[in-house]
Amino acid sequence: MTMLNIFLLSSTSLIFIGLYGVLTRKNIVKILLSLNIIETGINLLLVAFGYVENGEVPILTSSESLKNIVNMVDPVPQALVLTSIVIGLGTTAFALGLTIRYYKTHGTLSIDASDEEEVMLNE
Amino acid sequence: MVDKMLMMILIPLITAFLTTIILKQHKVVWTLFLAVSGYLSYTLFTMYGAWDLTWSIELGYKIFDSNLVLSLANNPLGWFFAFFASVTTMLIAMFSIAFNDDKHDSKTAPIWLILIFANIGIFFAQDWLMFFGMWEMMSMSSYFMIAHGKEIPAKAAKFYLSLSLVGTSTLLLGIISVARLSQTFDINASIDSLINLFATDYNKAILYIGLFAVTFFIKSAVFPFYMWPSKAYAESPDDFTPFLSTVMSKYGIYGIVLFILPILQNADIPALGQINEPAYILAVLGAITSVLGTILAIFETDMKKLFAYSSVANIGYIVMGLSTLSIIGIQGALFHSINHMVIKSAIFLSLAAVIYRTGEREMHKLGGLAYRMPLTFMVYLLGIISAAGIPPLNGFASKWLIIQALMSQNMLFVVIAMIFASTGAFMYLFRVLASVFLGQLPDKYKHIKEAPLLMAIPMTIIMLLMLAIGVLPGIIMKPVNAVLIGMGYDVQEASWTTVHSAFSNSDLNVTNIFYIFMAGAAIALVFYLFSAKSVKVTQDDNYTAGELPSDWGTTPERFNFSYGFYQPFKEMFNPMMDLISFDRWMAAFGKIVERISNGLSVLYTKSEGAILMLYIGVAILIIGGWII
Amino acid sequence: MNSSLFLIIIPLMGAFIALFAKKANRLMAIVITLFMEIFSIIIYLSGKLPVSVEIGGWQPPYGINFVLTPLSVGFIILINLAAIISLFIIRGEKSYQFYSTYLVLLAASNGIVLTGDIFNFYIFSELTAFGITALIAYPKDRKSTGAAIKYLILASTAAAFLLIGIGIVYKTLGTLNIADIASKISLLDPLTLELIIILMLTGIFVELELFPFNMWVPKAYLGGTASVNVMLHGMLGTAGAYTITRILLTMFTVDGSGLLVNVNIANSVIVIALLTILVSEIAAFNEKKIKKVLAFSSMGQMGLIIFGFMIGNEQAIVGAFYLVVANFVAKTILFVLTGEFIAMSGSGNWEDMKGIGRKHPVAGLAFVIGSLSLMGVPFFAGFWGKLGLIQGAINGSAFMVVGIVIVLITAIIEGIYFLKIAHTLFLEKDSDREYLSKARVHSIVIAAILALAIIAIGVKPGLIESNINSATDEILNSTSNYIDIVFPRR
Repeated sequence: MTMLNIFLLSSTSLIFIGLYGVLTRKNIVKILLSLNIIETGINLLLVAFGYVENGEVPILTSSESLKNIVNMVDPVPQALVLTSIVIGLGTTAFALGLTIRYYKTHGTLSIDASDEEEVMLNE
Repeated sequence: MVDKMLMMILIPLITAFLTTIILKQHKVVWTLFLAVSGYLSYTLFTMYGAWDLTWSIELGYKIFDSNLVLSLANNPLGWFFAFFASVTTMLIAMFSIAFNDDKHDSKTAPIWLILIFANIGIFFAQDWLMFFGMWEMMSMSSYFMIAHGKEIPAKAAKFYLSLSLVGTSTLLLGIISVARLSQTFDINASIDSLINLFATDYNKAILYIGLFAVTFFIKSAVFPFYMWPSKAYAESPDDFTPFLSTVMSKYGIYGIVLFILPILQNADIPALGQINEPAYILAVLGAITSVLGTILAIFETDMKKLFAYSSVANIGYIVMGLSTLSIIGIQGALFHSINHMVIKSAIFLSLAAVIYRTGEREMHKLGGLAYRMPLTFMVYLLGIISAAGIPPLNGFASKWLIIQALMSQNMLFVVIAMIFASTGAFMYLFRVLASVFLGQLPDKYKHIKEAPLLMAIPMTIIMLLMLAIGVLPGIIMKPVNAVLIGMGYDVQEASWTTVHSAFSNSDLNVTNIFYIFMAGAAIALVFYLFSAKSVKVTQDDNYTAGELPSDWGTTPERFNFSYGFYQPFKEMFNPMMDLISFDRWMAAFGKIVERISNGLSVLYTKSEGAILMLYIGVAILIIGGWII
Repeated sequence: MNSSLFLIIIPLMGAFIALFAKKANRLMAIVITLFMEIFSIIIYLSGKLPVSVEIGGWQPPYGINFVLTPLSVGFIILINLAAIISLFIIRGEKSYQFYSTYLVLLAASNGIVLTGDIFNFYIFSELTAFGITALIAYPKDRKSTGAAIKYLILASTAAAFLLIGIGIVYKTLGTLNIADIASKISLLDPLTLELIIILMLTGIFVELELFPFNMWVPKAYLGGTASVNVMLHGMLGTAGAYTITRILLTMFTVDGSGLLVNVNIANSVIVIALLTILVSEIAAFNEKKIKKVLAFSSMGQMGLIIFGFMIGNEQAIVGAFYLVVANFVAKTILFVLTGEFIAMSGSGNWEDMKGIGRKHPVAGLAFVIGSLSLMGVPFFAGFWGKLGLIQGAINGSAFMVVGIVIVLITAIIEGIYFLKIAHTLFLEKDSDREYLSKARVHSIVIAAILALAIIAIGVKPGLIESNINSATDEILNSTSNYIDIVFPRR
């Protein structure tokens, strides 16, 4: 089993664990954790896409390093991952902020709670 | 000079906006309304014979690789309906000025004007797009008209609206299907292409015709869509009900004559009897409509609902006449359309006058109004005599023509239905007369006055019209024959006094009949003057045997003779009515939709299912796109 | 044309300045948005379209580029128009957070439309999700917080799918540029392609309000204020409609012909669109809260538009574009007026809005016109969309004909509930109910102008025909109209 396969396997399993968590958890914090797990999985996946076995750092230091360009790891996925980590950070921070408000307004962290009020109004 | 055609549709529209601004000034508004309908009647009158008047506009929207054009054209058939419709409207408008006073103002004049705008558009449309557009305008505006800002009417109007939306949907589908065949929206071209389709693909052609037919049937309340008038007519503004019954019930008839008849007549369809299968279906539907309408009218206690069903029955006659595909039948049907306009405007206007004065619609709460409102009574009396088809008035000739046409095509069962319905009509026509105008006058209506002058004038005109058409059927028959010539039939110009018929030796000089009846009336008058006088009793003078009705937990009304008048008859027919109640079926369907709607609403309110639904969506995509 | 970057940079800078601008916030937001609207109209009329703008001088596919075509700039104009309207109908004072997030949302939704890079598209769509969530949650009450959380979770999950799809695209094709992907799409093996399409569709369908991805919609509309509703519908919804044309109809088509590469997926999308129409119209049928009714109707219209795009022939796409415009205008009227009506009656139920149409006839009429257009009544803008759709579907397969029958049946339901509500406005007012406030004149004026636009387009569809035809042409021949613009030397 190559390193690439290990990366792919672990990333997909992370994604599916996260998807399962989002589906089954009722607690908002746990849902957000699951989302973060998905995100980590995706990041790993993206990096794995650019992975080269025994690759080198993709920095052109001299004309010498141009010769090794085939061996270099693809830098674009890494750039993507950096961006997506930042976005993930923003999402999580914002969502946690909302969760605090959710707890204040609903008195619970359960996702089920938000529909009680409307059901009452409909009657 | 500004285009006449364009002016005719623009003036109602502009007036509609104008009246919206000054809506509070009800006298001005309704006078404007009268002016517009007067203008329309006059313009239409001058347009008779000028069959080359057209107007069109390019839309800049491409379909079938050609630019769309909206166009109007003067044609005998459209003129025929449009002219008589606008004359009727004018008479109703005059009535409306008086009716819509401070207390009764329904504030609907602008919508009504838009309806008139759509009316002209429907009758003169040259292409399906115009036709459909105007048809939708008519449906929508009539919804607002019937609902007229009141809660209970809005419920009835909702029922009407859902049916008309069904109609417009099928119409749109039909139009596009047919237009795809003929590659144009032109109505005449689509008729030709459908006739060709009958030669190649019979079932498809029938399906296309069916799509149109559903729409027309809905709008004219032909079986199985016979039940909306009783709701809509009853709740719409009282001065609008005549318009609904006289003008709006003819849209479907117009559509059938315009589109379905030429196809059934000219297409290569296997014959069945003397006509063909689709025509037979039409005949049977007409027969069922008239029988059902009559029976339901007999049971009704609300007088507006009663005449709503009566309208349904009359539409049945007209459809039967059309289904014969013969000259006499179509003449009879078109003639009866106009007669129905006149008769129903007489009846509904007189009833509106009664409601205007008493505020009461239930018949058993009224009575004896003939003493208080003699003119209204006369109008109503002549109206029902005419509606029953008794000779000196106009209703006779047209019914006679239709029955003749049916007989000549050997459609015996349909004739039986027609005669049953005609006879049954006596049962309900007489009942309203007896319970509203005759009998004893309730105490609270002791001080009722005759209808105001502005109501009396149109009613009198209509009364005279009924007589005039009855004596000189040529007034209607001449344009009718122009229509038939326009449709390609070989007919002579009609005579003023004589109605030609399907059989030899049975041509009828109606004027002579009129003289005979006048003589009969004179003899009856002599008997009336010299016979014994009637005895007057009070309304509660009946068989409670000294006990008060309240002792038995009931009200005096219960013992009024007109309450539950045809109870035994009703019990006889009730099982059948339950069986075919399309009404109930619709209601059940509505309930189901409401229940699903509530369920879906809950689904959307819940939070925890959201992700699950998302995954289900992904699953749909995977199954549909990947696995299959 | 490098100045087109302003469309994104200026609102982003504004979002930052808004943190310090205090009272001048609203003015600043209005000025920025007005500038953007005028600027985008100038771009549209300048005659330099279509053009590809290379950011930083890096040529695509290596650098990021913006693509300005009649289609994309047309959508930008619509989005900014909705933005202006939403600013005008804001009720009461709002703090800097509101305007700041609003400006981020504006930048992001412009970015979605302009960008020619798929990863950029992902970033911008995440940003819109942020912005709109914050705006929905702005009232700080129970309803809006619940709605915001629900939307955020759904949107984040969907974004994960989108990102995986983008990753696979990069792995297999080695490029992130939309035009480049579109020209290389035939190199992919079918299974991978299907996987990519499914992942990306999942990502965008949440924002497109398609059933069953749309569980957030009614709550979000209910939780947000009227101006946020206009943003949700006018900015996010319009940008969503644009993504359909770009992602589905440009990227994944056979030789840029506007037909999806995979017929099965196209059919599944049609099934989803039809499901959306059916579910939303039925759900709206018995709904009492007017905002929810409008939300359901938004979903339905979105389904209709996507159905039109997926039919794939010229008539249907023209129809779909007419629907986009008609739905944009009509729904904006309804949201603007609904905001006023709710403030007047103090209740979200349409049954409590009796008599408002009598008090404000112009508003009542505009509401009726908006609903008639949504129903697709002739002589109102929506009809031409419906006509094109039916026309296109009838020329398509039997499957499409079934679809069109469903569309017509749901149109009946839609007609019933819309006219029911419209008529309620004209009922006599209950004597025991008092109006809490007066309707604001400028809202009614906005609604009236939009209503006139509906009638103008309805009576004379030729008014916007050339614009719509050029947009349609762009989709049907995207090779020459899109790919060749990004890579002119090929």
